[in-house]
Amino acid sequence: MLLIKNGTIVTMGEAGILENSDLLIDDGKIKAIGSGLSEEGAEILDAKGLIVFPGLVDAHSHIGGFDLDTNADDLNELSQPVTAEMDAWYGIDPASKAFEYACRDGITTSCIAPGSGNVICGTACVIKSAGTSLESRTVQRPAALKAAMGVNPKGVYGPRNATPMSRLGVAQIFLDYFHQVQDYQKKKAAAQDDPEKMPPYDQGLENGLLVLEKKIPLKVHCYQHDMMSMLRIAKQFDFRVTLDHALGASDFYDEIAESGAAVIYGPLGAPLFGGEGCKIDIDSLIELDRRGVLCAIMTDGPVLIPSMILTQAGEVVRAGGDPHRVWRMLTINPATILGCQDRIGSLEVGKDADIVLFDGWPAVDTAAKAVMTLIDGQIVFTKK
Amino acid sequence: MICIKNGKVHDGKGKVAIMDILIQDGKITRLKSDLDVAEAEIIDASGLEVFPGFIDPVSDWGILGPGREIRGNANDNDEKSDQCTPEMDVIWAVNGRAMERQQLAAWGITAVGVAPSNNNVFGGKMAAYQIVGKNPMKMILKEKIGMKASVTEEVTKTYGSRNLAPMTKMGVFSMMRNKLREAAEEKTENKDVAPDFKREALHEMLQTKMPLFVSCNTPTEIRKTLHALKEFDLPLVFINGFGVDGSLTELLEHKTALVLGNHTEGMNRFNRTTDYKGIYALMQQGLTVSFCASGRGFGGREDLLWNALEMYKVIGQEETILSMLTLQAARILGIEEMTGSIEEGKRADLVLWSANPITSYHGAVVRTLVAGETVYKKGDAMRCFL
Repeated sequence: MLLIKNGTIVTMGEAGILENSDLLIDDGKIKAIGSGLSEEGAEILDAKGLIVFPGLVDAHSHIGGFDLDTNADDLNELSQPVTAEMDAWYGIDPASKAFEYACRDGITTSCIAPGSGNVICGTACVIKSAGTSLESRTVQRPAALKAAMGVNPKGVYGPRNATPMSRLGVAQIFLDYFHQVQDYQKKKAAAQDDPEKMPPYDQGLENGLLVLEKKIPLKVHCYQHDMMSMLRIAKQFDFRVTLDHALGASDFYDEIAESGAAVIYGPLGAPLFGGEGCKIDIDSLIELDRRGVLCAIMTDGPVLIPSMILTQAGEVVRAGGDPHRVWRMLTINPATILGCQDRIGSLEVGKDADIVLFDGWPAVDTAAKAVMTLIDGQIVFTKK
Repeated sequence: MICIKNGKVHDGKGKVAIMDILIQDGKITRLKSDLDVAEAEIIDASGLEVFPGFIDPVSDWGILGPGREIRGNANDNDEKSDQCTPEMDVIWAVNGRAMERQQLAAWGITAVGVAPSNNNVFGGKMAAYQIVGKNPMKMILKEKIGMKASVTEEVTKTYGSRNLAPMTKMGVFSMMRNKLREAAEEKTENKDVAPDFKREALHEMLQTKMPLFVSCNTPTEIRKTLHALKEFDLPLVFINGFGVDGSLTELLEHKTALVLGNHTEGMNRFNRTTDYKGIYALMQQGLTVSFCASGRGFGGREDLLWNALEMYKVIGQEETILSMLTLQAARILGIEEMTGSIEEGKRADLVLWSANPITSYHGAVVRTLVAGETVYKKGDAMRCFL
């Protein structure tokens, strides 16, 4: 048992911020939060002067799958534009150094998705940054079906003189795929569990079925007007989407708010090119959040180093965002978007003891750094 | 005449005080508390932090765009048809509109150095620019501020893949030294032989002691460059310098400076081991160091400040960090007489911040002035849409 004493606990739950308070961890879970806690035999960790924060959740990442140390690129199966049967889980190297770097900057959980070179890319999963095995580190699998619009799939298949080489082709692939899934769904329903009449098992269509049944969202790489195309397709087939990257969201406040889609924004840190990536409007998260849209901030790891999740959140604060709302975009919001809010995203009794101790207010003080990170109650990083 | 009144002025040299700044003809003419100037237009800076404009000393600003959709864009500073293009000059590539489109003023940047790409052994001449203007020739602060060179894998990948030299580090340094040796020799005039502009460009560099800006991704590349170029006695500026630590004291022995590359991108296997404490120790012994937004050709307007914050997190020292973003960058570009600090006689390249952006994310740009002209005010449209 571990007792964190005398910290400023930012619960991100109903309890709000608790000054000079304690948090008791037992068997990897949060057992109690309050002031003046004591527990016989518990190891004491003095957090005086520190901010006790929920472990950060990166809702869109590729760490462990794209790896610079090993040159691994195991998340883009660019052999055909629809690879819905792929599972990012098999592309992840749990020993990748990238997870260690994530722990160092307080990211305890990441949604790791296939890359965006294909239109329908495969399923994403939610993985903790440390633990004994990939199995034990898996929080949710599948968490979403990843898809991509715009330049990325065009840029892969266009030069091969293959579909899609334009946005016409990209949209058509979405329509064709979901029509196939619908057809598969009908055949399965008609078979009424009679194995003789069942259509042949198809993992790619099964994954689409999870989307049509609203068990998981379609996680869509999209920018600017592609977001509107996607919302229209999502409405037609009646499924949930998350709008990932979402640069240009400030043009579509009404539409996004009305759709119920979540927004996972980022990464910044690129020049303003022409085309889909040029409208950098992370300040749009302030208005989207005000309108009830679930917003999160991504590193797109390893595109940005892990600490940039806080730096980008700082940019929302710079644009006038209330830090209390912005912190949600790093914790409980991504946890909720990923369907893991029962386990992670806030410091509440019964939840996983995924905790970061900061030496300043994250996304407010530029110097704020993680000094200690815990995952499932285990210390996985301590600043020297 | 403009008077910026009652701002907390950080001069870029370590001094912080509430001061008034009088601007005339684009320059700072008086710097004093409680200036009484009846006829001046007053900008009330009470409660604001007044900084010198940031300077991004090695960049592609003004090169990118108006772009295509697929990344790659114009690449007008990337003449990779020949390994050695020292005769070329970046002034032919810079587009004022393309620079403006990046809205650098909204992130407090008022001047930049623009450089040829990292793909050639000798890339060509660099120039320093102010960030606004339609006519790029009028935006130039100083030409021929340096010669760009590169010893990184970008060179060997570019030419090696064509089965051309250099395809190895051996090839890079051999080519670099051979070209410089040829250029160092005095040549007798021979009217029958066509002039060799490449040789002449390097000869001029050696004669005028034009700084050589060498892109190096690792401390090893820096050490090899120092070794290879010892006999040519050139001022050297190392760009990127990923992984540099306090042991690189060779930097102090030669006339060198360092422009740290982008440490915020994760797709870079070199930038994780940089030791900011060690670099700070070298700075205390006299090394000039600044930051840049990209260094490898891919960074955003926010990256200059973000990179400074990465170092601030480790060493603190906000006025030192500010000086690296301003005066030290100006020194590296040879424009410190003109800009880079808030001093009488210098250009009024000034930024009014709502709070100190080096210590707090609450710091946002309220107003940016380039040579006394307000070029950005909070609330101005900042989003690029093409």
